[in-house]
Amino acid sequence: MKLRILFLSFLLVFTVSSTESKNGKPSKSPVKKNSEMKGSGTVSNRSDNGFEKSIVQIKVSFQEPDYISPWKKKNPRVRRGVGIVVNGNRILVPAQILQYSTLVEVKKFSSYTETKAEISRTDSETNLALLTVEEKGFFEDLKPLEFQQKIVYPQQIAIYQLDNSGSIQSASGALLSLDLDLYPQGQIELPILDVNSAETLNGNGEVIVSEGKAAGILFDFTGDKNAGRAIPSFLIRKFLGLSGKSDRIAYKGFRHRPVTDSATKEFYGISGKNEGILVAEVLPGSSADGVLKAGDVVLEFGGKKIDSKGYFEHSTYGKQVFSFLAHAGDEFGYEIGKTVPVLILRDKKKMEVDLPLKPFPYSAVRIPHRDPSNRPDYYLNGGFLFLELSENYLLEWGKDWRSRVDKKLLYLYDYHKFRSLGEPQSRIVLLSQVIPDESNNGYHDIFGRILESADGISVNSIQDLMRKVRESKKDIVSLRLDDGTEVVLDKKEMAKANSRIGAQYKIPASAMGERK
Amino acid sequence: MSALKKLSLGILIFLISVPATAEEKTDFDGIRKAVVQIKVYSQAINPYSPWTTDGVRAGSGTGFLIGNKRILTNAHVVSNAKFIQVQRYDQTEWYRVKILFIAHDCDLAILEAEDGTFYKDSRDLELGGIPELNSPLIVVGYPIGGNKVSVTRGIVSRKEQSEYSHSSVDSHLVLQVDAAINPGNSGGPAIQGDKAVGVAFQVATKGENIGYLIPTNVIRHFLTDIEDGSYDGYVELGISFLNSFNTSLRKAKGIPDGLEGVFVTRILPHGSADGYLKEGDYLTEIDGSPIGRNGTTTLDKDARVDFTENVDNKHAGDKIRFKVFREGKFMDISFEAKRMPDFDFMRNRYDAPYDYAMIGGLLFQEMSQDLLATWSRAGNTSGGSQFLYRYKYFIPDGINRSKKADVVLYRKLAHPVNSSSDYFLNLVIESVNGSPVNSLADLKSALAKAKDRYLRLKFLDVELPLILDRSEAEAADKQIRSTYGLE
Repeated sequence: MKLRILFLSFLLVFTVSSTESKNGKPSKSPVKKNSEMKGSGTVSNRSDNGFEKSIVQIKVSFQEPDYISPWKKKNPRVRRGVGIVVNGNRILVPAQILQYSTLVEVKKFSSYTETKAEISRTDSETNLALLTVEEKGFFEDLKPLEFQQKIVYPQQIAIYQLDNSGSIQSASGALLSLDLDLYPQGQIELPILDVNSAETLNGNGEVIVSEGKAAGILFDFTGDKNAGRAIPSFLIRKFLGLSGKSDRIAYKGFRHRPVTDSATKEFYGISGKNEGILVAEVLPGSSADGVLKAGDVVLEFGGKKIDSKGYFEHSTYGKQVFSFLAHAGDEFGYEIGKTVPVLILRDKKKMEVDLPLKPFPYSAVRIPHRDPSNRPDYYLNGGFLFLELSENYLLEWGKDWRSRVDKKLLYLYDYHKFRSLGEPQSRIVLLSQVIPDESNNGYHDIFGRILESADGISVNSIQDLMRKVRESKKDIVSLRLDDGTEVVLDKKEMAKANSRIGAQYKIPASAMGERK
Repeated sequence: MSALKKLSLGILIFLISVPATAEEKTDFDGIRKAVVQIKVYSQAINPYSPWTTDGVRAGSGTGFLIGNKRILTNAHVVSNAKFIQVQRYDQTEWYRVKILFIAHDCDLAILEAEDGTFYKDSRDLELGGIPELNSPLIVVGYPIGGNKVSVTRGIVSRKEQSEYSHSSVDSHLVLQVDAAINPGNSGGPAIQGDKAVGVAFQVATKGENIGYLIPTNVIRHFLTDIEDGSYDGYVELGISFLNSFNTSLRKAKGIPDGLEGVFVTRILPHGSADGYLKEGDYLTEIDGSPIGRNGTTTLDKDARVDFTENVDNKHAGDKIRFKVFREGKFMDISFEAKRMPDFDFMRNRYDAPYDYAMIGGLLFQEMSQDLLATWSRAGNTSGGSQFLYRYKYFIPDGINRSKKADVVLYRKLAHPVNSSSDYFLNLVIESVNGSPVNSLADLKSALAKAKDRYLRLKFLDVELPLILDRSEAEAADKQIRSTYGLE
């Protein structure tokens, strides 16, 4: 057991050093980039259609939460990105660059100083956010950019950003294809553009321009593969409310599986050669809840034939996964509040059902995942630190986290991230660690164990645990961990311990005991 | 006692050979007449392709005579052996031996030479007690770099329970010595005075010159076990426990001040304590020895060891007696020690084939340590968190209460009939056409008695089953057996 403690302390050091090395990158790279771009003869062109008036530089100071010591934050750092001026005196940026921000500043081509900006809206599904600037006249010499309604690919494109001095930099690249995938903080598969460029890009908001309009925003770039990914303009238009009635994204509500072998096809009664996918799992509270069942075969979705791998033929974008119709189907009239007709085979009989489109059911999430608003909810009392299991907690183990974390937590993360139909809403509560004090003697080695119950009743969130401890009439609350260990919380002892622990380990009193 | 012991240093097993040191009164000339070099040719079965065998490996180790023509050595020296020969220091010929008994859980084996002339002019070593800390000893054997007997000197530096890495799951008492134990030393005797006080068997992978000996209580346990002609193995208490340092917990449980002992936190299904002890019990004495609040009892004047060491020295059928403080009262609870075959899947396996089942080119095996090791060597365990969890928590989470074994789809031999089964690889199968699969035998019988046109293979954590056309899958198997060279 002692070894575990040593292991933990090693991990902590490891995590810190790895984040710090990441830290260095964003601040250094713009400088490096400038010189490289000049060196490689890339055009740095001030008169390039005046795009400099439509682009601003973003500087984000941010501080990540610390999931191991959740009363603290990690060291503040800075990242930079590119924003696009849009109608209504707003600035559009990829949402990921605002994550955990403490201060957002913008700088335009005509100014040498940065101006404070406020976040007015973020959407983690489309990875987009809007900023406003209070300074009067800020937008006077700026010009909103327009967005393409449709994307054409393959095609050559120009990629723009502002450098530190306020001059516009352009690079060239190509749009290759459009596929569905998750955005960095999203839960819903949405169209993402594949971009290719031989130049050094950051993937932090550079604007992709074709025929004078923005075709997308680059949010990811891998230099050694020359490959980047961008948010397509039609998704941006959706976010800005320029298309469709709702600016929110719908989620189809189920997962599906291809049907490629003849035995499975015959078993489910699929007669066509290349048609139909299987509904594999329905999320509670979602669009599909109460409409579809696992084992249904989807033959048509929104009037489009679905092939056995789940694709339909999009008139502009070719073969696309049918989720496109539910998640980004504005052009077909499908969005939140509307229904999608679905032709299914159930028990080998054809029937038509209507799927009412709803947003992603976050209530189905058991282990929070990639959610930028996810800040660690914790309960620290008497040195006992309780946390809800989340992806961010697991990621504190560093790059090799999958091989380092407890296999039970990894299993839950892989197979029980969402609850199933009929299961109650609940989170997994961990006794994350015990901060040693004489009062919690005997428990110092406990680390990352699942809390099963308090006084015999199951615990389904940190708030639930706090409430149970508060409302208990007894001085002692008995907790049961998943390995059978019984931990007792002695309320009087904990109150005394908190002041000792606070002084000894420099933990603010506000972090201990009951918190809102 | 096996029990899941998690903490252990990285430990390396040596194939055969021990260094020896001259001890004050040691008659080395006499001792070397008892020490034997062992030459082994072995061949393992590949768990991933259980119908094939690996290549033949040559190895060498040490053993020593303990009387009645018996040669004592490590199990790992002679595991998977196809051909074994022995020789003593003054002999020129190699003598063929057979394995009489092998105990993988305590890494010991007994060999006997077929030709009586091997024993001419030999000497037997007597077993001694457990040496004192800081006492010198010599280790004798045939380590790497030659076939002349070698001696190295060392000091007993620690006594504790530790993992025996040959099986990877069992923990018993070990003696840690600061002697230069090397490959080839394995199975050789550690000598104090003129008695054998241990068998050299493994070293720490980190740290220099830290070697480990199997002490004589473990050797005697083995020798007693085989008296009836077969080796049964260790018994398991089958509980987890928590120290009693915490004042609040003691108070909450009404433990009298100053009463030492430990809390039972888990009763493992099918262990000796199952049905006798309860979770929450406070154990204060085992067989009359007081249990400390950290869970130790006195071994001798040098050492306190986990109280489970008491159980480790018992055989199936022996009584285990506890004094228990339960619900405010003291009680005497005793029950029979028994073996716990549930742990077998976690042991490295030797000398035995791997049973498997195949349907439609899909290969199934019961989850085992060997399969897991093969998986990780092949680097294809990424994403295999289901079986990693099931393996590690099968007993602690009580899954073995209702199930003999997890059966996994561990591999597929590609054929059009199984074209859409990749999704199910490395998952645990739950049922076939509705009949639960709780062992490989269950799977085989479910497959054999299936009459439906379709086989519905339902896997754990996946809602929809894998569908096979039964007759097509059976026909494909014939083809696959010949194409891939099975049997």
